[in-house]
Amino acid sequence: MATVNATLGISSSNALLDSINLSLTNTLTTTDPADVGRITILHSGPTELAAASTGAHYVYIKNISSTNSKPVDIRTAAGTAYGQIATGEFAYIPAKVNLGIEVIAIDESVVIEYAIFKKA
Amino acid sequence: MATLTAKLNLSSSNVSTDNLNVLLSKVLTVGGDYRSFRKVIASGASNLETANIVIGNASYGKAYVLLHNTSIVAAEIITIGENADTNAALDYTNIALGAGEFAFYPWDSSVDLVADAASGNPVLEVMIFEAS
Repeated sequence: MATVNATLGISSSNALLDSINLSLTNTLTTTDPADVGRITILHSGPTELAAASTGAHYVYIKNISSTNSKPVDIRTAAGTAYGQIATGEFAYIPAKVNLGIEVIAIDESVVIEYAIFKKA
Repeated sequence: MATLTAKLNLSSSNVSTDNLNVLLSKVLTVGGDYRSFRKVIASGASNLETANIVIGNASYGKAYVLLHNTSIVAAEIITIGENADTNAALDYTNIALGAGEFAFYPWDSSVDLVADAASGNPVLEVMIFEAS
């Protein structure tokens, strides 16, 4: 088993009249396999990052496309979309057990970075 | 228009033989509706669409959503998904938040966000920033 420290910070000085400054931290207990990568994903079909048989996992996905501004849909391995990341945006998600996760680019291929840590 | 800076740091000294330290940062453009609230997610709800709806998709376009299970009880896992049948089970699920866990992602607002709890009545903290 391993531990991954996840810290999320959200701040803004102009979204509201008062400033927003939020920080959340969680220590994740993980086990093999871990997968960190940078890949090109297609728009012609989904790219599976974790199979439906995968246990619960923590995932981050960042759209780092530099050749276009096309978004990426985040879906379960069964194809149900629930998030969409534009260029430069990221998602951090504790994915439910045995649903898997896949991504598909909209209109054109897109490069993403991702990491998947299986929940112990 | 306003901006929201989101930063995510993932670090570990033992997830692999090399240290891991990933820092993501993005300045997001927001300017639509904003809401922050806490909601009790009842595990015994018989109609999730009315009792445990977290965010209605009709009220928002694309939005950045933070979901945080504030419980400290391991069994009080909050599952996020969709419920179109107004019954006691989610039709589609995607995210499972254990005690203390959080998620942050750009929600596509195609369907309502509905929650269910595995046990007890954990409190879900929600922040939603609608994109411009």
